[in-house]
Amino acid sequence: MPAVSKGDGMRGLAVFISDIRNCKSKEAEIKRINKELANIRSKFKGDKALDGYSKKKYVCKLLFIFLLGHDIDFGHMEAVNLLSSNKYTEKQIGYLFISVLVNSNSELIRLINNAIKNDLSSRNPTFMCLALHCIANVGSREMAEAFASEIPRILVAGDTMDSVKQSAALCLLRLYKTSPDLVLMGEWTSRVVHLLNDQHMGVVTAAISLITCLSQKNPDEFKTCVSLAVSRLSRIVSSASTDLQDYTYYFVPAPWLSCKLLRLLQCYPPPEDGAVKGRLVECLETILNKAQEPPKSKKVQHSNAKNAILFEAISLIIHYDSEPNLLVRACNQLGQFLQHRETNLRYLALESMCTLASSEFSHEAVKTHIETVINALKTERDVSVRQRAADLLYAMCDRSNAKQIVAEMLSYLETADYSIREEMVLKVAILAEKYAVDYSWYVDTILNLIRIAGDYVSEEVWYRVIQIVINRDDVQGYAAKTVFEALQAPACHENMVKVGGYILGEFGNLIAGDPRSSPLVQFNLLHSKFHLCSVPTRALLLSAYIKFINLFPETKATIQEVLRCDSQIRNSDVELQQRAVEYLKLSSIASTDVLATVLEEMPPFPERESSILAKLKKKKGPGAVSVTELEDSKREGGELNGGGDRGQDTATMAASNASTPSPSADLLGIRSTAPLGAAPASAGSLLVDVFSEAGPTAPSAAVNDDGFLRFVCKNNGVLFENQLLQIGIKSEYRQNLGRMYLFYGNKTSVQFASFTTTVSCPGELQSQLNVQTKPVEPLVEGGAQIQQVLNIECLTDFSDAPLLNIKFRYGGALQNLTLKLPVTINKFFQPTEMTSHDFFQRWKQLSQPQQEAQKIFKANNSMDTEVLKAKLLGLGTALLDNVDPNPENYVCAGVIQTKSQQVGCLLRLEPNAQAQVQHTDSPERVSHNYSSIPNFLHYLSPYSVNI
Amino acid sequence: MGKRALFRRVFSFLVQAPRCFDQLLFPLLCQKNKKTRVRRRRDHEPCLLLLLLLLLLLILLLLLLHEAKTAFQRTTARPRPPLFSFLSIRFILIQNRAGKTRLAKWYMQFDDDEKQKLIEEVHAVVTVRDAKHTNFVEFRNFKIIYRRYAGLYFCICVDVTDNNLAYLEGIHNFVEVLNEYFHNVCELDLVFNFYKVYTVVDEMFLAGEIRETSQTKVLKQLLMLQSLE
Repeated sequence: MPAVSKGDGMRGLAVFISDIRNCKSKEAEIKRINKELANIRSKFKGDKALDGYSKKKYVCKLLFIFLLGHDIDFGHMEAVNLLSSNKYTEKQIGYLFISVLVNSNSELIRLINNAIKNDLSSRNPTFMCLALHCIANVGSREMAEAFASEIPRILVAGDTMDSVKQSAALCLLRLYKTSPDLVLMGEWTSRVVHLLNDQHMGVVTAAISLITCLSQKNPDEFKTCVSLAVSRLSRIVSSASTDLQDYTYYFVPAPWLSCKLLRLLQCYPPPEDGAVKGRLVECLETILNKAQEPPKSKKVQHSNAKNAILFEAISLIIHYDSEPNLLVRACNQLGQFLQHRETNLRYLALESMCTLASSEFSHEAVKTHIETVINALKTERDVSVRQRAADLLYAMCDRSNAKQIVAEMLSYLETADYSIREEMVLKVAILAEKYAVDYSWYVDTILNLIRIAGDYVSEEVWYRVIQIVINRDDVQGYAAKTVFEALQAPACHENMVKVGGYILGEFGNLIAGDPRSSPLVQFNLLHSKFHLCSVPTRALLLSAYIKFINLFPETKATIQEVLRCDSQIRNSDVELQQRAVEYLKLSSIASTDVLATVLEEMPPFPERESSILAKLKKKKGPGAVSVTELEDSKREGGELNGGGDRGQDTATMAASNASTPSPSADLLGIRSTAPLGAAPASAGSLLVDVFSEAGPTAPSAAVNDDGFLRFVCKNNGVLFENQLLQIGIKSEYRQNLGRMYLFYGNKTSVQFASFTTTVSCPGELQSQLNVQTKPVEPLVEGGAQIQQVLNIECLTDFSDAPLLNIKFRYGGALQNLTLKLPVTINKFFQPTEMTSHDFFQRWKQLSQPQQEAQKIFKANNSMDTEVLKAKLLGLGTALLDNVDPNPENYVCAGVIQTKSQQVGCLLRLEPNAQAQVQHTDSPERVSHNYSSIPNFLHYLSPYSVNI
Repeated sequence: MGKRALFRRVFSFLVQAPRCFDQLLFPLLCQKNKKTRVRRRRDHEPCLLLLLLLLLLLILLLLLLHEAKTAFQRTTARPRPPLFSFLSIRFILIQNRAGKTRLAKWYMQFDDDEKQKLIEEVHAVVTVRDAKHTNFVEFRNFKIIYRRYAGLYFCICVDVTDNNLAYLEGIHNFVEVLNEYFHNVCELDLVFNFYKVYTVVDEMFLAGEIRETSQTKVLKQLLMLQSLE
């Protein structure tokens, strides 16, 4: 029986700890600690050399003091000394001290690395493990540099002890995570994969974590692990509960290893080899079967371990999404868990089912559990379980059950926790819109939503109901009638007043025939709410009133009276006052015809993706949105408002932020927001990409220069945006100087700490471009935006773009981001006007080979004259009309201004409409003859010649 | 067992104090030590009244905390998976109900202030939950999987996509090892032997991953280390 509780430890330490625990007050504790610190300091400084035991004891005391939350500024040297001791206990304390109080003091790191190196080569497994654990715990770059090549050797060596192998595998994993560039697997790959076959299950457990991580990065190199993992899994799954002895946990054979194996398989598509696949399917079936067997133990540990494997297996089944039989079985199994008495299982079952609902094979099976899920929504005690139930209802919703689900969610909303109300509101609004067959139901639902949870109904929701009512004639009368009735409630939410004001203003005439809702009654009803509303709502109501004058001339006098009264026409709010004055004038001066034109019914809104969906996505973040949302947006195409891709919302945002006079901003921004594939910014493809309409590709965090290409022809807009951060750019250029304003917006509600930005010019760009800036404030509050100004000077021609590196802490995690700043040579173009004669004379002069470049490329989208013109202007050159004899061609001229010299550029674009080819055999000619012209041209070509 | 005798000598105040307040000596896994359980029950009798009072206080406190929790949940929106995610375990924390940390093992770089903040937040999130709640809590961009043993909360912070039950049982496996190693482990063992607890953790979890799951193997190794000087 292991028992540590002998007096084997350090007596002095025990006494010190109990002293601290005896302290009655914080002050007493601090006093005692200071006394101890003084004591230790004098011991360390004393002339008498300390023996290993005392050193260990004092270092350990220091560590304890540190763990109590006090700063320690000495003792590091003594700890490092302990590392070279031959006694395990001393060494262990030394390593522990180092691991807990990591210090990037370079000198110490060198000493520590030295000690580690000695221990690694000591061939003493205990010491090797200690050293490896220290590397794994600290995982600094310096350590990676020192040991990244050594550790794989230890890992695959034949004579390494099993426990050392385990530590080495995970140690390598840690180094790979911190410095992937330093860990080169190469030759070790196959030997590492074969660790999956190791005799020792502990080694497999440790190695599989490493393999999983590596194969996420290089799936192809580690492909062989699939068949090995399957055979290992099948051996474990088919073993009897006692076979694996040490690794059997409450009668479940190797639960953690099984989970890890199943997780590794989720990095790959289903195995192609039939035999392997058959074996895997067999395994999965066995796991599902085992879930049905009576438990071998009543202990919760047994069922937990068993179910851990089951849930991981279900994730794999969902990941493959190709075995209808397994999917349905998984769904039935989860259905059983929905009524299990363990809250944990109910929670997890709801969570897994959410992903199952998005598979076409199991969607129907999931739907059968609707009653249970609704019940869970009503009765669960844990808010997070209710949240999962709401998520699942949302995921399983389709046309057949939408009415029921929406009704249940609405009724739940009345009692829902405040924390999840806003999300629930968005979900109800989306479902109601998506599955509305009958739009009066939709209108009812949304009005109910506003009635029940008005405070949580965001702008997007009520905008959307108005968009839909305006776009559909069949529902307008009903909507007017319903809002009219809703407004009759003595207290109604301001959002209801907004919707009511807007809809009655537009379609009040549709219900005016009924004497109970005659124009005057409608107006009085609206006006009775007026004084309780905020300024924006009042402004909206004023617009509704003027629309009333147009709809119902008989109300003109009353309304004019209202507008004329002091509280409107002299309102202290400028907007209200202006509206009152203008509307009053409009109604008294303009003739009926003019009024009717000005105040005509709103034209239909362009159909596009629901802004609510975008909001929900934003709220939930990319991962939480998961498959379901992606699925939704796919399906949505076919549903109600067919069209609009995911990128569009950001695109419009970018467009609205852009205030370039050139119309090209919008045209360019409109669709290319999605990253342009992984387009290499190589010269040839660059401009083609600018013109191409990139299809919506999945946004990925890794591609950070996606914003770059859009800025070739424009100066303002959103350069980068993710869940946390939005970076906007405004820039202006004059001659060889430029100024760029960067706006960093924190999109979260949490502060960004240690926010730093650095602009660097890689390589030879340093001598070509001069970029100056001041550091920004290190703290960015939630929702706040900070600004940074860059002063740019172009010294000579350049081809790279400067890099912007942004670092900040968000919720403790360090975020690091590198972007290309859109500074391109064409920004320094100065447009030049010239006559046809001049142009062709110069064109002919520039005939040497290095002075021209030419390119033919295919147009990716239709060649619209206006678009092309806008883009050419955006490029910075002057577009010369009536120069080229062929009116189809475009001719441009400009001078590139650098500090060292000025370079004239001429450009011709010859579109060939029949072949849909931008047949650009027009050379670009450059006036100056200077040394780097070929290089310059090479760079310039993608921008200008290709156009 | 000599150590416990030593503690009693050193902290006579602890022994004299009513045992029901002395959470620190409760075995974490009580089913193995019937003696303590019996004694505990007997000791409860004289302080029944006190207990009732405490209960009332506790209810009040819980109500307050619940309020605080909902407020907390409102401010922290739904979890967003981190942008740069590789690790599975972010940190392991052992805290008592009063919020004292008994072990903190970090597998991700945090600065000291951030660590302190995390410790406090975890405590606030975990202690308000009762037995009817799940053992999982969403926490910032991650989730916490926790289990309570006597007065101690063992919390593991992992990615939202990680396997909840596997880590829940990982905690239990760890506690069983501690229990064997310290021979009926109680909170005080973790206080006085904090440096050994780190060794146990490193044997079972390394670099944010599970290193060894066999209790026999871990204990054998720990015993071997114990015998070294």
